[in-house]
Amino acid sequence: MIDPYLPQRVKIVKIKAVADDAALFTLQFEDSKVQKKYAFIQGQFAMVGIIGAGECALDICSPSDKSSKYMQVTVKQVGFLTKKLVDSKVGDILTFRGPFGNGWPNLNKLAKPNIILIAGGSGVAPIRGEIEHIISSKYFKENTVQVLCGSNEIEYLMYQDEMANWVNNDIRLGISVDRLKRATAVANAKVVKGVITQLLNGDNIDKDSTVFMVGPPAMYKPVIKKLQELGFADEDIYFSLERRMYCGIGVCQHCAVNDVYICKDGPVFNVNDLINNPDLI
Amino acid sequence: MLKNEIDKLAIYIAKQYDIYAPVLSKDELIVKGVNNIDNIDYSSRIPDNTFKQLFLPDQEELFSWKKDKLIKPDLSKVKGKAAYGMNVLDLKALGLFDLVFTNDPYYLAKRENGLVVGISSGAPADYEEYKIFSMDKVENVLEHIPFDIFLEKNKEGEFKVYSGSAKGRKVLRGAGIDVFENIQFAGLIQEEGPDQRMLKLMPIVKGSEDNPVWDEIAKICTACGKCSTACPTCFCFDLLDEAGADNTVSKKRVWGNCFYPEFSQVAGGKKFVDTVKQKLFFWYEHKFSRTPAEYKVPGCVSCMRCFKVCPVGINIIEVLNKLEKKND
Ligand SMILES: Cc1cc2nc3c(=O)[nH]c(=O)nc-3n(C[C@H](O)[C@H](O)[C@H](O)COP(=O)(O)OP(=O)(O)OC[C@H]3O[C@@H](n4cnc5c(N)ncnc54)[C@H](O)[C@@H]3O)c2cc1C
Ligand code: SF4
Ligand code: SF4
Ligand code: FES
Repeated sequence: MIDPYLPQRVKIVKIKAVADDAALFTLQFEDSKVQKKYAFIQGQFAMVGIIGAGECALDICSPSDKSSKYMQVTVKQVGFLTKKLVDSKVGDILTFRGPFGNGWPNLNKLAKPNIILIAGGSGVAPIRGEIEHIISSKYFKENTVQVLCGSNEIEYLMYQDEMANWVNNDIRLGISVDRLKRATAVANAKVVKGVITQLLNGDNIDKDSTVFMVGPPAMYKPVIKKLQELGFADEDIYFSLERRMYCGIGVCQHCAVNDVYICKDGPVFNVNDLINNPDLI
Repeated sequence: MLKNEIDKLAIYIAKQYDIYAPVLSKDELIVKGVNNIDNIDYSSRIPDNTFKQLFLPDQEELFSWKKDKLIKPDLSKVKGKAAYGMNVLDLKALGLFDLVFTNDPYYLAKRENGLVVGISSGAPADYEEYKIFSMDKVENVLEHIPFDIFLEKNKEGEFKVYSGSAKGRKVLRGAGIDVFENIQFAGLIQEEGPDQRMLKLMPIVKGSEDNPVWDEIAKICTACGKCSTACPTCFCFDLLDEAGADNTVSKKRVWGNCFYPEFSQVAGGKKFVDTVKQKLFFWYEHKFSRTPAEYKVPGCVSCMRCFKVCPVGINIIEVLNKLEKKND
């Protein structure tokens, strides 16, 4: 019988700072046989930990077609464990369980194949995996891809160094910063002062698209409302949620919302799911 | 069968297992480890505490690391405990745990290496008052609750013995008991289909979030969480790492409690289940909507322990009745 709580050991092979308080970790299973067979769906998460310090949920943000070689996670320092993770060094051993959850819908099966990725705050982390996947699978060649990122301060906007590469791969980039002190641009995209909904004005965005979004709890309602006003159909809007999690498999109850578990039935939901479960957001 | 033969059974079981059974001390009926089988209470009353500790301890080590080296326990060697004298309601709760933890090797090891002996002496006197879900006569219910051995006590104090598993039969024969009836477990759901009251309550509870009943009880509930701790069907848990001596770290599973402030708190301080009203709703919703939707059985076995421990006297039956009434 598989022990759902027993993690694998992974080694940190690379660390890259991606914002003032966040880092990208490249991980490999110590057991290369496990790595070779490893697979996940973009948008799924893992429980990543340090022996003695516990575990936390992190989205796997590397492209899924590289899963037999490595995984990547982005860690934003917000508390006890994430601080320890950010302080880790190359060569350190972490624990790793998962993948868990459903992940984003398969890009090749979308009714509307053009896509808009919306990320507020540390939501850029889970979106980054999808962007890497879009670049690595050349999805952008056939379809329009837009990425809209919002941050409260420019210093906390993650992945600024990768954005030029996104733009070079035909991804249209929009950035908003709540507290913008002086006019600036990232990867040639002029940073808009204000909240993320300001990036959603009619002229700039391709309305014939599917939307994937992740952000802080307060972001979902206004962004969905704005998208609906712009004429987006509910079934074309997907979002990924965060809750406190322990088991990752729908048992411990910490992430339950009415009849669903964010860990098992999510973390990705569709706006239509709100009909039965408005408390999700 | 006479009581002295049942005593022989208990002695035989005690040779192989640590026996945990209801014991009367002063006015309290407490499930605890039993050294002297004469102390076992055969009234089949509902004990103040539950048996859940035996299969889902309030704290347990899953595995550990010593200087980074993983130490996995040999689960086949877990010492079995005998849950002796479980009443029908607690057996229903155990049946729910069996569904919830069906893929959990730590739980299953305790179940497989343990022994469950049920008991009934007919419906309790206050049966009508306590009834939340249909509680049939023992004969009808036995096929739908898990046990290895079941003792049915009649008014004269004589016992009829049932076996519910190969393990149970082996123990009975080992104890020299040859006269017993075999019961084949047919799942928790009765032939007529899922519990009618449960089905009726599901949409009512699910849709009750704005019902003033929650405001009413939220005003008096202290969110102490005693109801959840006392409840035989409450099973939520946390996982944590605990450092021990000599560079050891254990992965522990400890009971959670949805009334405690950290239950749903994420980094930055946001709590998704925050107000007392939200907590109460979350608790009831788990029992009367989420569990029925997931497992097709009620998440409450109407034992009334929650009412008995509640410092402000919140009565689950009254709450459900009010919710139903407001819906009519
Ligand atoms: C599906 C999912 C995906 C996530 N993806 C990412 C990601 O890619 N990058 C990233 O930086 N963060 C991500 N998070 C958030 C991350 O899990 C939390 O920031 C982290 O658990 C905080 O732990 P801490 O010990 O540093 O914080 P503290 O506030 O010190 O945590 C204390 C306790 O709260 C618990 N806790 C606090 N916040 C959370 C939370 N959000 N979820 C679960 N438990 C929590 C911890 O388990 C710990 O026991 C994700 C969360 C979820 C649910
Ligand atoms: S025991 Fe009573 S007061 Fe305590 S949390 Fe439960 S309902 Fe509230
Ligand atoms: S009556 Fe109360 S304590 Fe008993 S099972 Fe139902 S909710 Fe739990
Ligand atoms: S994390 Fe345990 S139920 Fe979702």
